[in-house]
Amino acid sequence: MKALIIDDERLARKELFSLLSDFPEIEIIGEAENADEAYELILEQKPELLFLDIQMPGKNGFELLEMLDAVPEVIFTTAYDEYALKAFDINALGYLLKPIRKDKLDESVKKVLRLQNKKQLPDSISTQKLGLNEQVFVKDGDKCWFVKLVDVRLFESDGNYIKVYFDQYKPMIHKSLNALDKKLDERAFFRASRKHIINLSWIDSIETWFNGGLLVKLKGGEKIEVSRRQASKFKELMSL
Amino acid sequence: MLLPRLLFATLFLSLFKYIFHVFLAGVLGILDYSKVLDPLTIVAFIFAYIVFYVIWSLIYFMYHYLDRYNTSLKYEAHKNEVELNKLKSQLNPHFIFNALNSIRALVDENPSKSKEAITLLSSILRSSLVMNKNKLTDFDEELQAVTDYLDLESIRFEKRLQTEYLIDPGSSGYHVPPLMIQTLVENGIKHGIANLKMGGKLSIKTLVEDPYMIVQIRNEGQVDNSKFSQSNKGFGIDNTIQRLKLIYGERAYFKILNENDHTVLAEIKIPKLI
Repeated sequence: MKALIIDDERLARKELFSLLSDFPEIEIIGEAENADEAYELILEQKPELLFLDIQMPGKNGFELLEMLDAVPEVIFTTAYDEYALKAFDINALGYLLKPIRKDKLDESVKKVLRLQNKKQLPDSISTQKLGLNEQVFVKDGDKCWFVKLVDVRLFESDGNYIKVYFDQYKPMIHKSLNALDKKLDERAFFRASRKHIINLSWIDSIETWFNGGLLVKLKGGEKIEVSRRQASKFKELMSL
Repeated sequence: MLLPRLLFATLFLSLFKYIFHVFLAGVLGILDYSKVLDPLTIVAFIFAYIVFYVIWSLIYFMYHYLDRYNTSLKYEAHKNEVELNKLKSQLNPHFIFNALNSIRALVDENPSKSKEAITLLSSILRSSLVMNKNKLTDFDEELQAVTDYLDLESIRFEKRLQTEYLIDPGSSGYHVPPLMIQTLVENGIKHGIANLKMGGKLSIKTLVEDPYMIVQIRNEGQVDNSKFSQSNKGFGIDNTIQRLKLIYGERAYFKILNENDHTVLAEIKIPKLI
């Protein structure tokens, strides 16, 4: 598994590198000392795992993740950061406290490897598009989530923001729906209207609607109108 | 203690007022001699006066008692809060765990340097335990704690942290609130140098203008002034101001400002004597 170490302190990177030498499954393909360097490396090398320090000069670890369209698995490393760790209470992500305990590192790495094995072959690599297996990083105020696209029912544009519907949450991200539409895999997601992108696997029922449009009910209970222009495209897609 | 004195005073005042009343009536020629010596009248008047004075005194004392109680409570609470904040600000866990992490890496890379780092860290922990107990500490001792701290941070930040000391020889005779300078230096690193990709310089300068000493801490970076105007003032900054006020009153000051577009200056002025 290809991994990247991101930390502003050389000694901290070195320490993690030496700890990871006992894990043959993890191949360290690079190191970065700030978010911008890391961003380049991620696009270039496509690592499957990040060891990410939260506090760094310039952009911090969260800001780096917000820059990425699809995020790899992430294990956070931090010395002490009450505030940042609170953000993760709800979806219990992997983080390691520095100095890192070997047994905790072992636990985190195993968890990531298990996740990796469960995944089918990521179809996105060939298409360069965001498929259902990918995950995105969503930060809304103090709260953060790693959301698998397969769990996202609906993207709804709201001004300059997009509301991301998954589980019982609908946090906002600062992105444009048009840009997102271009990146999503068209076999999994459909642009229902100017304001909505729906996840096809979450469709519960479809009804005809006024003016030749359609009304799609999602399993989460949301009702989305498909505009007339998109309805014919939609029917074509669903009949395949 | 207060009560008999109060009763005596009200009785005396009432008698005095009655006599004054009689005297005034005599002067004005409206004195009714048959009533002046009537014991019932005397008792009734004096009793009425006493009641009046007692009520007035009660209100007076109640007001002042509550007022004083309030101020002293407020003062105590304030003092405790400053003390608590002082304690909290001194053992910065982020610093300690990062330092330990660096030392762990150094054990392989440079064993002798790692030994030195352990000694520095123990000195820092010791000074934060011992110095907390005193109200003031020698400047030289404080400077030693600051130097230890910066030496350890230099190991962690490597080339990203340069330090400079410009110490007036006269500073030795001064006393400072323990770890106050160190807190400001820590802030300079945490909010300034640690946020710069290329790092920067932190300099400590003292100037003695008898009977005052000025300590200046400069670091690369910028302070966001809009942050200070709100209630979430920098923990260290607010606390420094409060501590100086508690110890020296108005004779000391603290200020922090952007000296130019790439340097932050934090300055404290401290008198020689409390």
